[in-house]
Amino acid sequence: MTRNRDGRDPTLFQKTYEFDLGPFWLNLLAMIPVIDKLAYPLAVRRGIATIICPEPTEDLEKLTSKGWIIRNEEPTQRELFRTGSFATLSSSQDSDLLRRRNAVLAGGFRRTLFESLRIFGWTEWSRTLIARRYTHKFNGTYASYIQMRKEARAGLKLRNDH
Amino acid sequence: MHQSRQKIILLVLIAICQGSSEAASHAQSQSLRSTISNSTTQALAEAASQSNCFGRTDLPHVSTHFPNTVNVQAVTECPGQSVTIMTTLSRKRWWLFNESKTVTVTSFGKVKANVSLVCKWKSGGSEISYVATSFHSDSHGEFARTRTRARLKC
Repeated sequence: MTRNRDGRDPTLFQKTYEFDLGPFWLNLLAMIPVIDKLAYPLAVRRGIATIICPEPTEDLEKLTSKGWIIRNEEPTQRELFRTGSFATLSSSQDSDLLRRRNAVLAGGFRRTLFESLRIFGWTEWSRTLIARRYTHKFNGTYASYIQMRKEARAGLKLRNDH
Repeated sequence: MHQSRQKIILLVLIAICQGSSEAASHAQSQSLRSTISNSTTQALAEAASQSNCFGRTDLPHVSTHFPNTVNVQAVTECPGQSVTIMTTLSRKRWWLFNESKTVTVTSFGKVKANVSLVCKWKSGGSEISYVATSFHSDSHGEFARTRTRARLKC
């Protein structure tokens, strides 16, 4: 089994960075190629980086002192919805345009086109954001996504102030 | 005498016509009511199905059961309906040269799809990005798309 330099088993850790909940400049920094690596330690200090760890380990206190948020339970339904991994089935009219576009651009051509467009997402974070936006627009839940992001931002601000 | 008979026949005919028109209007109102009730039921059923039917894709992770594989699980749940899930797990590589595997499962009520890829990470290399995309649909024509992404040393 592969291990990190500090001996931790990487399979136990699932790291998530939510740059869109942080300040605008940090979100922007995470979208610029090459220097986006600087944004990750800053996200940890700002408290917008989470480690999902199903089993408690000795290193958790060290990680918490650095700024990591440690969670051992599964994310809530709202959080899953915001990240695009949970959706309610619907026949929303908002996604009609996307459905028509998908119908036209069927099969391999569609795949090739979208993969080519992916070069515009220059960093990991920008690609994540593009995917989330596309998913919510497809499901017709884009407005709810924006609203939930605002709420999450306000919640984080409250937590930091506290 | 002849004229009075004609009048009586005319009156009887008018009465029959009125009766039939009343019956027709009654039938029409009945059908409207049934249509309204049907559409209300349909709307309620739609609302219920909207609240009950959901799809979820978990984060891709290194499998603990099958070493050296990355695994992702996706679920579609819709009580009382036939549901289909199509899940694709992709390993992002240089530009167009991605690797992916797709699994499609159809079942009744609840369906789970498990997709796995063999690890390709080499010691000293950077983490590899894995993307899991699922398309969930039910027998009423409703659908949703879910997507997750994780960077793993696998």
